[in-house]
Amino acid sequence: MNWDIVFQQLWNGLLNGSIYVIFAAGLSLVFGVMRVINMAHGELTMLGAMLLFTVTSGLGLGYFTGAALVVILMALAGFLVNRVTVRPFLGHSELVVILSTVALSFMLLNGSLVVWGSEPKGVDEPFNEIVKVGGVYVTTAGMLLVGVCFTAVLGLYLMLTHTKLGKKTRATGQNLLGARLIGINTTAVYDTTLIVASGLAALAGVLIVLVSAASPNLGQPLLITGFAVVIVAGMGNVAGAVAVGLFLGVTEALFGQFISTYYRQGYLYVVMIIVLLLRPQGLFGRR
Amino acid sequence: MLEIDSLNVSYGRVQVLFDVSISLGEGELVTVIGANGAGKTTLLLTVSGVLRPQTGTITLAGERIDNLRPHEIVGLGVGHVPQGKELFPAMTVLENLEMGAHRVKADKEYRERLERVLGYFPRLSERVRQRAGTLSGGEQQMLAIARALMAAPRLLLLDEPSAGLAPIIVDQLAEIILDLNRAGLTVLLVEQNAFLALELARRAYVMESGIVVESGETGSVLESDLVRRAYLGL
Repeated sequence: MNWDIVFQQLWNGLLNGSIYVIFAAGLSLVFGVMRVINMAHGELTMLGAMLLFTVTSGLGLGYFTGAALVVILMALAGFLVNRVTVRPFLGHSELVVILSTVALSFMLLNGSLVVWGSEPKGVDEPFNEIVKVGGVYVTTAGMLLVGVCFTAVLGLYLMLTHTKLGKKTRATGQNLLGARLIGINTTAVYDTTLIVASGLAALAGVLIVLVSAASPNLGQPLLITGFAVVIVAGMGNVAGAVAVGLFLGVTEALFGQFISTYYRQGYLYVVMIIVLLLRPQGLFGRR
Repeated sequence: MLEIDSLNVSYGRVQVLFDVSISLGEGELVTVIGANGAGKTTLLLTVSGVLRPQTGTITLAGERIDNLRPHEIVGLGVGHVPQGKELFPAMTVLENLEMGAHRVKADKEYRERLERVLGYFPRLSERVRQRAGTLSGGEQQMLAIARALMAAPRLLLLDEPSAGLAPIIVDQLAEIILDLNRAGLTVLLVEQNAFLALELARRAYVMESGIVVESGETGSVLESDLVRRAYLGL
């Protein structure tokens, strides 16, 4: 066996897996706290990538300044996502909220196709040197991607477990009525949750352009993959989503290399179906 | 302390409370008894701001609270121990208590409160690191009360604290409720267990199908034919 190929695929898997991790963490956070399936999460990531293209190529901002600006803007937009597409429908069936976020995702996707067209757009990266580590080719941009993903997810974890805001957020997710009756402003918690989740989605978007082009069509496949990760991990389990996202990213790359490139996409869903059959609550989910 | 005046509350088109008026003086322990479905829980949820009244007013220490949101009402000193306990099951006992005192900024004040509250519930202090979801029913009820006390309320709303608990645990809880009241806490106790409620409270209201049908000193309520027949089986 050629170990260089194995390690090269491990690295490629790590790049994909990191994106899955940060993407699924936001998706899982919203579900865990609000019991809302945010079908627009993928388009928020797409918008992050496309806005970065516009602010770098149009306004001439550098990658880092542009990325910071886009993530902050998108986080603030998370407040509107809550107030316009989620909160007004919360008293109704869960299906209504799903449909309203589907509507948002269609508007964002089609609006983006109008604004940017369907051609993929390259974004100038700050640096993209290729480094040979052993027999494996890695890029500096890829290292940045992995580093930022895990820093962001670790930050989210520490926020949820060690800050008062994070604990209030978890409490609200575990028992909404209980949280309201001890005086937690659950409206503010929901606002914050979508602000953080939208910021994470946009962060995924500005990181994706480090390894591939920005395109209005990148959101949909990512959403499906994100759901595969969240379902395998157990809905709402953020820490589980991290482990599963990484595992699926790496094994998917190995599967593509050694078993079949054609069925590589199918691999994730086969894993998802098997897990659903054997353990419907997900690997780390509680019933 | 609390004035509830001609409260009308509906769930959608179904009216649940009809012209309910109840008042509590400062430091009183008052009970509302009634069968399942009499509207007792609805009454407490309306006081807490979770439900909105159609008409009528709720006044806390002279201030209208019926148009406030739940977290604002808690901020004014109303603690609510709900019927289903509504704990945070995956959090530890300590984290649940910490959440009860989430408004407290100073570490010193938090520690004092924690010590005072755990003083009432020695069983909980042995289990601070345990997840709330793994506690027994009685311990969960104690934690629900302790969590509400961590906000240092002036008025405590207790919704059926005896539900589903063994008699010996109910006795312990009754002692604690009396202690809290003696320490100056105003308590509105809602109960299906009329014996317990009438033993603890000085004044009582009897509710039936959303209407207050009887009220007064517990002695006279105990004497009334209605209560003897319907709740005490005498």
